[in-house]
Amino acid sequence: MKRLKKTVAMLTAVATMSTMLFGSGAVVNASEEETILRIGVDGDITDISPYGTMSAGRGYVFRYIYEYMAQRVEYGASLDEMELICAKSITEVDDLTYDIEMYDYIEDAAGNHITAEDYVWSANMMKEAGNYEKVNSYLESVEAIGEYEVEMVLTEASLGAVEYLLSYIPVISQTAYENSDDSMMMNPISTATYQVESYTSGSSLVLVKNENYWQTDESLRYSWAEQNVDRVEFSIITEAAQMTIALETGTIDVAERISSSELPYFYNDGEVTEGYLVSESAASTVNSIIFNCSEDNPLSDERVRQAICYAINSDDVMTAAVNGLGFSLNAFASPLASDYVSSWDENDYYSYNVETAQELLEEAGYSSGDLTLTLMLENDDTILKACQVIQAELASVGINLELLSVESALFSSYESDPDQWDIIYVKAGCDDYCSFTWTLTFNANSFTWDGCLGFIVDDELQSRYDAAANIDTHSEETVDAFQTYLTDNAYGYALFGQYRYIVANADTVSSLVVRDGGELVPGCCVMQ
Amino acid sequence: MIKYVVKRILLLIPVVLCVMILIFTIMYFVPGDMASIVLGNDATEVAKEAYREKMGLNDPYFVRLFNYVKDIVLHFDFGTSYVHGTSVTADLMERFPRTLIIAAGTVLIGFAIGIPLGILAAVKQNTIVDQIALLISLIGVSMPGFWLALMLVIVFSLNLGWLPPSGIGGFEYYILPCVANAVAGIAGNVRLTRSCMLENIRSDYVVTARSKGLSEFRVLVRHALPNAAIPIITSMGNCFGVMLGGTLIIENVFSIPGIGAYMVKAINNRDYPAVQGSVIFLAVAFGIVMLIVDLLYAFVDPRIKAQYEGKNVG
Amino acid sequence: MRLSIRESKLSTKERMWGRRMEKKKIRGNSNGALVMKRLFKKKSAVAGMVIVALLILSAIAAPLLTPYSSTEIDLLNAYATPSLAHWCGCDDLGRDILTRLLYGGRYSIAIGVLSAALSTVLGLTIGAIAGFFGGRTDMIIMRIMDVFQAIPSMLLSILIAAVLGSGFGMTVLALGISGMSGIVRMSRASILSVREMEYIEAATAINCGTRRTIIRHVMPNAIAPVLVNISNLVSNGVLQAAGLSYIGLGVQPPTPEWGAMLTAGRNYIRSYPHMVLFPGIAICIFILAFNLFSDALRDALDPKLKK
Repeated sequence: MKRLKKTVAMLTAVATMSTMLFGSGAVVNASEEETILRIGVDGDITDISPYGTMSAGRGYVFRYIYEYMAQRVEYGASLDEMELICAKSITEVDDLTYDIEMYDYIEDAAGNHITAEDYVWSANMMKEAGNYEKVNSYLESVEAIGEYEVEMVLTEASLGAVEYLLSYIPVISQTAYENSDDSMMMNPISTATYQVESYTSGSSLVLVKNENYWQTDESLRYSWAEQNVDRVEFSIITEAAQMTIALETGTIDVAERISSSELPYFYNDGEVTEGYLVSESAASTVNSIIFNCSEDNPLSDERVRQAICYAINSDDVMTAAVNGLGFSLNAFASPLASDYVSSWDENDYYSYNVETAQELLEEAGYSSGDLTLTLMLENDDTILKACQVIQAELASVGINLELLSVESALFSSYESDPDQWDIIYVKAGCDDYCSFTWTLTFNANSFTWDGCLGFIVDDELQSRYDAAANIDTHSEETVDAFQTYLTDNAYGYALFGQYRYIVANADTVSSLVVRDGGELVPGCCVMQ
Repeated sequence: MIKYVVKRILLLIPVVLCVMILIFTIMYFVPGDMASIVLGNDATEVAKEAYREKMGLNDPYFVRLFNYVKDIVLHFDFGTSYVHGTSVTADLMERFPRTLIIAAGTVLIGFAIGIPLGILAAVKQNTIVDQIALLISLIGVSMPGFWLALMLVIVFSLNLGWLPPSGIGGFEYYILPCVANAVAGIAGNVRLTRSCMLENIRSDYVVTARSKGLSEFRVLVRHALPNAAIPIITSMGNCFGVMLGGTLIIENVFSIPGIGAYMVKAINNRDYPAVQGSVIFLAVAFGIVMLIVDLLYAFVDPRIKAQYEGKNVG
Repeated sequence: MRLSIRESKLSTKERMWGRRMEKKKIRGNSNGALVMKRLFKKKSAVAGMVIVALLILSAIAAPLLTPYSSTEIDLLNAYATPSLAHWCGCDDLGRDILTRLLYGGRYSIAIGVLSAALSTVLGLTIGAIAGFFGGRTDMIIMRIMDVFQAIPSMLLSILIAAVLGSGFGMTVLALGISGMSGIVRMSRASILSVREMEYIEAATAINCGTRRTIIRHVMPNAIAPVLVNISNLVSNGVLQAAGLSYIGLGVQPPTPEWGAMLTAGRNYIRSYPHMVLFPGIAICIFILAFNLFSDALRDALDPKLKK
């Protein structure tokens, strides 16, 4: 699936020409004035504190506000393939124990020296805050075994667990945190290459270059530690049309996300509009629906679930939702995951077939108009369109589908209530492995209520999941076994994957650097 | 009169208290479990329970209400935002000026266009001028605000490049939001001014003034307008108050971090303290505006003034 | 004003003729008949009424007027621009926009009218009581209204909608309650200035009953400025419903409510303007027609304009 993995940066002839024509002048100016990169983001940057809750907007920025022990540059990178940041070396003692040696000269922007004790404290803070379920379930303890050496102990040998912890527990100075009046809510101080200058929640976040960046040896810096621009200004622009206009009028230099409906202004039929740079990358999220399989629900009948899968033409759903800027899926997994089994591409994954759907419904004892189901979705233009197509397609096999469109907050609250919905629309991220998508949806252990997202109580499913997710038993066979079982039982149905687009104004930005997963790395971008 | 003013100010206090209770109660019944909303389903059950305990979500209704009102009254503390973790009071104070500017700008633009058009329509009643004035204002009111706002952005930011499309900064950033917000109100102002002027133009004292040989302009400005001003001032105050809470869609369209945008985000996040804080804050501001309007109202209409003074004496 | 005094005289006469006669006389000379008579003389009012009636009729008769369904999706026709087959083009899911507008009238007009009616009934009653009685009654009512009005109407409707949940009935309820306090204040304000007028004094002087004075003498004179507000309320209802949709609290899809259609089309305002243009025009026409009618009604109701 490498074809999807490519990140294409496209430069128009005109953009190149303008560099040639005005380039020399601009460079002279740039050396005198501070360079500013203005970025428009489409989601609210909610909480920027080190242990705050994750949100779409936070996802854009947290890796540039804080530094971690190590990071994964590519999806599914294993420990050896990780790039080290604060860690000098990481040694695997056994399956569950890892020794991390830190650099002994790490200092944050305020000059606080960072030792092993700080990292131990930070890990405990993260656990205490409890905002990251995976941290709490993967991490047994972190202990200092030297002034600059810690030992990290895991609870289970889950696939990707140590990689996750290394790249999610921030390196923070305890002194700096305790000196902060508001627990670093507004002005976090970290070791990162950029530091927060000001933050207006719901509106803007300004980062400035950290002049005293601790890693003075440039050969040891990780690949995103460049400081090409002096200031990075994030503006939150939620209105899709306004994002386009802001980019067109030069109010922002880069739009972190251009919606599929606005994309034709910049990128049409493979052609980039003059004066813009477009980066296209496949997103790892799996747009899917999951069925409520609790006992008294009609969907606890496998045949009904399969009928629904057959009745949905997922290509139509994709065409309508993202204007065709996506790809169809043949398994409940993202092709970007490193352990994606390539033979799944040949799967017959409930190909659109109304007759089969109707037969299955009849077999289950439902005739046209008997079934009225509620599809719960998070309020979002793209999802709404997808669900309206599903609604129309189910209507053609005689199932009345009512849409329940709720805000994100209510959505997460209703998720746990089997009486609120029959079908739920989920965008499950993958990050690295197929099991990451599944743990968010089908792993009963990661849910606080009985069964998983679909209230499925199925020991076979769980044991197959455990096999696919455990570091020792993880293999193509176990991953395939889970996927096949999932597909046969139709507990959920993957609809499509989509592309993400970042667009920049070529007059001010000459190159974009985008990491795997489609997020911009601001410090590495080069300005004109 | 002073007695009246003091009385009105004292009466504002129970209103504000009632608003607090009302809003708190409304938000109390909003569906959804706060802990899983804030921490997300990614959080552990232990963390959720700790969160509920920390935020006092396990306390009974009256205890929570009492603590909430007490904090506001004694410390002017609206609590901590569930989502941002910041002080709601600080968030509100930072945003309020922007909302104030938009509300004031909207009302000023609305009346600066509405009153002259309304007078013109009344003076030239039933002529083509009257009808055109009404039609223009009617078209204005028929357009949904966010649609007009986007159209204005396309014309003035994108095509002409005169004004910035979104965000905050200098004076020029507020022009489009204020205009987009004001257009809908113009029709109301025109019709109100027109109907009030019409009533007064036909009244006896205006006929008398005319028969004294005063010029038509003088009759209008000195006699008809001051008397028509009472409902107009009431309406202006009303508009301003409504605008304080009516800027939220415009703030969202233009990405202006005012109280309106803050509140919409807070509602979507079910961030109770932020929602409660915004509404109560706006209610207090609105109460003060309405107080001023009522005082002006009493001041302008001598009949009402006499009524109150008569009461106070009696 | 002369006429008002004549009316007062009439009531003295009626009192002498006894109760049954009185009722008859009132009906014969009632404002309602006069208003209707004058209303039908006005072209703009008739035009407004006809358009509103046509819109309501076409909404009811929608299935007869169009061969398409308002919810059926046809991706081949997505974004289709206006043509003979689709007069107003198609939306992003290939649904015929004209069809959706016709069906949408059922929801939009009902939301506007029902919510305004709810506000008016509540508001006029409370405002009239407050304005006429004055004193403590006025104070208590106005303080309660202050609590309601202290929350600007859009905020109040959003809050109520957030608690009640989205949907048609909830939207009407939210808009109706939030629009009420404006009417109360307005009707009270005009009643305050009317109640000091000579004809009210005259009516009171001749022992005219309180309820009668309010209904027969105060209300007709105080109602004109309020009526202007009511027409605003209907348009506000339609527009605020659009606002609620914009925030995500309006009716649920695929209900073709006009405001929801506008909201869904707003992202295509530049590439496919027809998706926003036609719902916008539908809203414009409805509000314009409704306001023409209500303006004429205002003129007809104004006793000072009687010829």
